[in-house]
Amino acid sequence: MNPNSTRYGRYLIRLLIIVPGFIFTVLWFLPLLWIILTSLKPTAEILTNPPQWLPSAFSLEHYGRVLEKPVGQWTINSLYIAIISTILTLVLGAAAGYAFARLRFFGRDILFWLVLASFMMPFEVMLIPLYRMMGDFGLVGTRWSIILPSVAGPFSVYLFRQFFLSIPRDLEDAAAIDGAGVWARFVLVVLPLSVPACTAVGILAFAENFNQYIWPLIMSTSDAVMTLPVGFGQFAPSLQGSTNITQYYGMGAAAATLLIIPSLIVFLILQRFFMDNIITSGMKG
Amino acid sequence: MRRVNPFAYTFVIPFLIVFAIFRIYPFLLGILTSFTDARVGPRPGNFIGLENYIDVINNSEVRRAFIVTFQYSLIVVPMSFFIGLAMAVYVDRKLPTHTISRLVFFAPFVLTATIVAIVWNWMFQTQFGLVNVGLGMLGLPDRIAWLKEPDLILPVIAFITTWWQAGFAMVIFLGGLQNIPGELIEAARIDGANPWQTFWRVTFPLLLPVSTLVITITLIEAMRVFSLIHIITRGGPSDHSTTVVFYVFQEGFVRFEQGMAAAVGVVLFLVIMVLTVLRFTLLRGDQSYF
Repeated sequence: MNPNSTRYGRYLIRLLIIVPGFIFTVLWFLPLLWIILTSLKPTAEILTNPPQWLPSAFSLEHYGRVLEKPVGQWTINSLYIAIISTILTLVLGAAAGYAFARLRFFGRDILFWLVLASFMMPFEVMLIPLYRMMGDFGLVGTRWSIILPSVAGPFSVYLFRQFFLSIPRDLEDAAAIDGAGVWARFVLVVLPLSVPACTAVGILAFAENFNQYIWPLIMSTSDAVMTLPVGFGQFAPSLQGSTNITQYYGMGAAAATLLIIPSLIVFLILQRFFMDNIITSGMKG
Repeated sequence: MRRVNPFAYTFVIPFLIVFAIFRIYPFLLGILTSFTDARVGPRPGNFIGLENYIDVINNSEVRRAFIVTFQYSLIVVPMSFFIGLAMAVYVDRKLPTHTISRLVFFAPFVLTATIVAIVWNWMFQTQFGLVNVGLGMLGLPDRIAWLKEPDLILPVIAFITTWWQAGFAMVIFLGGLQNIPGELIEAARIDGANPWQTFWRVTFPLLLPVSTLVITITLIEAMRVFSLIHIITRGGPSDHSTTVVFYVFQEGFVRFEQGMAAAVGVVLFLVIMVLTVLRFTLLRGDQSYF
């Protein structure tokens, strides 16, 4: 066989993979590009067929209308809830994960079994009882009503335990011989080695808490506790009446863009962590 | 040092308190509530035995919600599986174009449900949405009311979910692909297998653990589908996208039949429990993939 023809053949095959792959990639990103461009169009140019890709003049009118809503308050609520939940998840999860990995105490195995078993309890089963409890506790209308249930999840304890089991215990043993107590060993020896685990759990917990929808929706009795995902739900066009529909498409696009841009920036900065950690955790929801 | 350590409790108690109050207790309370006729408000409701569960079996709306959810799962699980797999195979190369594709495929996963809903609401709009415009340019029917056709709504929601979350499956498959020793692929090639045969006869069988993981996770997620339904369709057209969790939400927080809603929730728990046990059983001994 002519070596040239096989080389051309290989190039051809590579081209046959890359070209559809490239088109597919562009199509996959198109919706986001489209919504970002739409958010900058004057109202008159939004609903056109054939579509007008670039606005004739950039317009910020939709952003103005979105910002008439208490978007600032929603942002503060979302960040407050996500940050406090993440910190608590890290602190409580690391401490408990360490105890389950390294320490011996009465009831350890049954307690850990219970933590594992709780993976099977979908959050949706707890909607009704949690709602009734929050009423009893007087927490309805507070941000803690959203923070506390998300901190109670088992995933950080599980991930931290797995991580602590994977690091050698020689250093802790050495510190113990030097007379370090168990808290000193945990804080001074183990935690400094746990930066990767903390980053992983921290990023996953933050993303999960920032993006959660159903529970904040139920707890959002007023703008004082409403989060961005719930608040921006008001801009989804299908739920509006048929009057002034164009205007709502513009508002929806602007609201979406306001969250897409920071989400994508954070993702690009942290992408390695996101993708690596999903493989190790394999957990969500 | 392997003695029982009294300080151990200072490590676990803070978590256990939150865990007991906000996870175990609500779970038990949910089971309890499912045996009552509780409505909204502080009163716990009267004990009515199995009445809610009998209702769950007899009530055609509940049965429909479960059927809709199973139908949706049957569409979304294979869709995410094969698209995620194709993406992983495509981006499993160290060329810059593939790195960009990997980022693009995964990016939607970091977005919150509301954004995904707004974006695709727009894309599927009947008259001006890009989907119909694109079909029109190809000379295909371009007046399809994607979000209003009872028969199309579940495939459409499944498609949107796939766009949103296939990157997650892709990343898990990538982990699996990178664990396959290169010599095996090399050996198959030397034995004269073409790339297509190599993939289906060598690579794919070796991906069995990750495939199981992807299927069980997407299946459990599919059983819990809610946010896109709530924002895009509100269960419609008529009740063609009223899934189990959407039904629980409506029954519990719109009609305030909280006892009944709790009972449907418990049935959902039983389904998910079976799936979770299945997942952990199938993957036993494969600790790396938890």
